[in-house]
Amino acid sequence: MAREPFSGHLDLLLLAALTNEPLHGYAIIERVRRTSGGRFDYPEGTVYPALHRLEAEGLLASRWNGEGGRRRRRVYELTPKGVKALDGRRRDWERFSRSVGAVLEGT
Amino acid sequence: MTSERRRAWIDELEASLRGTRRARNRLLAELDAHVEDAICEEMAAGLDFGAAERAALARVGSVLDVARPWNDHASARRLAVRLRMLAMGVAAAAVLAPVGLAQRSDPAHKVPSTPKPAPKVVRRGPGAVPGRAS
Repeated sequence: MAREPFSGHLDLLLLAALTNEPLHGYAIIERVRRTSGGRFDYPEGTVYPALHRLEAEGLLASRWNGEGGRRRRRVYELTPKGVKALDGRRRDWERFSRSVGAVLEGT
Repeated sequence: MTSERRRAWIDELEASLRGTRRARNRLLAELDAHVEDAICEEMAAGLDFGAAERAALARVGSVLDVARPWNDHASARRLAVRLRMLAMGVAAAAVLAPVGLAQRSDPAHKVPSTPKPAPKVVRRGPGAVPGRAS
């Protein structure tokens, strides 16, 4: 199966990757790659500007961790506003997906 | 360990980024840590350091890949800040202008004209009173 760019769905995928626990950027990318079966192909560096943007919009919060000899990493987590936004975008996606599926089945 | 190739990539990115120094430094620190993790992963998969670093930098993408979305967002934020300041200025003017106009049209608030200075009295001698014979 061909790998695909995911620029149009980047925010949704990043928010979804953080549903269960706070993660740093590298782990977020790993999670998206693993759960999508390596389907999404993108330059990994592009994720960081998106994470900063989502944080500026109040959907994510972040903090440095890794003091005490461990490597420092910036860890991101969903804010209550981010949880709400994820729910809304998930519903939008499901609606869109159902609509496309209905059209494809009808042709 | 930071090689020249990795340093050059970070330096080029740093020179391409807009926004506040604090935000730029944070992004650069995160990307440097990301490259470090990617190198470790590639080396664990069997590559030597040089090949692992090349693979890691290829995975992260070009400077433009990172700088473009970052700068787009930085420009949008700057525009938003300017528009907010403009809106505040317009709102302040909308509140203050009627007050100023009311003050100008209200006679009680008329600014008094500047009084004329009193004429100087010239004394010609000690104890002399003008117009009286001594």
